Amino acid sequence: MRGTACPASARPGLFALVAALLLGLGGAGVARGLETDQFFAWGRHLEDMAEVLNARVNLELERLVAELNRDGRERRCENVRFRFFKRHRMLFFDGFETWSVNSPLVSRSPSGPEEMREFKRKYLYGGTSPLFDTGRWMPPSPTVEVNGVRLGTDKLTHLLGTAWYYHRWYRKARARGLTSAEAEDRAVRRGLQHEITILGRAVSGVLSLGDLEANYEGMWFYEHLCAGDDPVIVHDAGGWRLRRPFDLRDYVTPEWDESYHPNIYVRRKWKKVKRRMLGYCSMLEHPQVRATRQAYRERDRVTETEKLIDEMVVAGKLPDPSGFSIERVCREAPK
Amino acid sequence: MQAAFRSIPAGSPRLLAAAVLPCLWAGPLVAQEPPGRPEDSRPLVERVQADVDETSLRWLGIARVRYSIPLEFSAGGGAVLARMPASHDCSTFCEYRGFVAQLEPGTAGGQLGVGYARLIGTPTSRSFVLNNVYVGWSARAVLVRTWGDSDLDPARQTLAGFEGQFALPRISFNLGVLRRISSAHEDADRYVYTAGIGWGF
Repeated sequence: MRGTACPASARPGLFALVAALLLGLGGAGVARGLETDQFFAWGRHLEDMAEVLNARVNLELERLVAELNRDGRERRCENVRFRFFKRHRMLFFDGFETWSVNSPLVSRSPSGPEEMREFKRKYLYGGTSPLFDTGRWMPPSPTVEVNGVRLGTDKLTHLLGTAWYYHRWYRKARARGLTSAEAEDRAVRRGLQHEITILGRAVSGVLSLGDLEANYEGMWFYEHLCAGDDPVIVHDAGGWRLRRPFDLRDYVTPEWDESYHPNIYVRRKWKKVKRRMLGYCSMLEHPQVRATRQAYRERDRVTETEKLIDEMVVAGKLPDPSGFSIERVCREAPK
Repeated sequence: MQAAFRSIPAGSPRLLAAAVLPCLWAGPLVAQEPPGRPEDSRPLVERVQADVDETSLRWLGIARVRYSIPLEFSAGGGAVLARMPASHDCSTFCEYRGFVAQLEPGTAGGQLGVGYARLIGTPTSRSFVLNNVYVGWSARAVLVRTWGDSDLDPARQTLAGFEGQFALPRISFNLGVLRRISSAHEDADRYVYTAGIGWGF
């Protein structure tokens, strides 16, 4: 194929720019999920969606099994993991999340035109610039309730999408001879670095610890998808089959609720978020909010991600997340 | 279902017409019972399956402005015709996968493109035009006619080829290759590489 005299040579800059941007942005495969605001759901009734979301994921697993048996060739668990990941993945978004923000079967907040309008007014990140805050270039994820925990639907993207990359890092470390604990530590640290740099805190100004928790849990989902002592799907004489149903309740923890487990913000963003957060101080006494947070405290445990964050805080590499909590904001608020 | 969408039920005899003329055809809104209606007595698994599998065809208007080689400054309008779950209202965002067609006049040429698109976006609340593309790509077969001050030699020629597009919020890029199909002088180049940057889809 010959190059044309005029466009290809006269305007190499445009070609170079487009190619560089495509390569650069395409490389951002470990894309984070969307921003979410659990404060808005405070005091609002939400049905527990564990069964509904389980049914959706299990439907996809059954279809994966049927596809594997139709093909009749696939034997390697690693490839099965990738095929599951690929079935519902698109850059930035996950099919399960797209379904959960649209399905009439899913109870979520905000939902319906009136609540959507109210959300636009009260959105936690609504005070930032829609032009310069990259987090606002994407739609916010609504809140759903699973096993008593309120979480953004973006956590489905983290659990079943982004976590595939975590798992890949984990497997690579294992292949290099590291123990399970060492490989896990390697994956969690790398995930944190990604969240701090690529499309994370450095870009959007938010380091979501809830996202990291969901990524971590998802790493184990992928590990146990078709391997280990208790796999979800297995291959035996009859081919691939669903051995046990997926249950989201095995993975969700109170740390996924970003109104309970605070994000870490950069200063420029925090000033604007704090202003909006102050509006929720009076809601801390709401019966639903009190009951939920009490239940969270009873279930709370120190996670691997929290241990790493504590280590980073002690080393002075990250600010203490407790400084961004609603309790701290309300305590320090001018009377 | 959001009234904003023009939808065609699965298996409709209008399917063919809608696929051929997605930009012009506007079928009636079809009221479909959502699979999750309160009185639905089917087991949850069946309702979830129905919610995923009961689909309808919808079309969505698309628009873009860009600077590209060889059209230079151009504005395009067209449509995406996609099959998607019938119950989804897309008020937050939806995934659209399907046929795309777009007509795009520019200062140095015009382009007609048809192909396949996959994108995630939100339509405007009271219309059926996509106003936010969060991420998406398309692969199109394109027919280009250049005119005016085109940089090509000769300035007026007809080309056909392929274009790939990748879109993110606020920005979209495209790369492609065209082959001259009109007659020209002997030294004229036969192939033109295309590139562009702009807004929209």
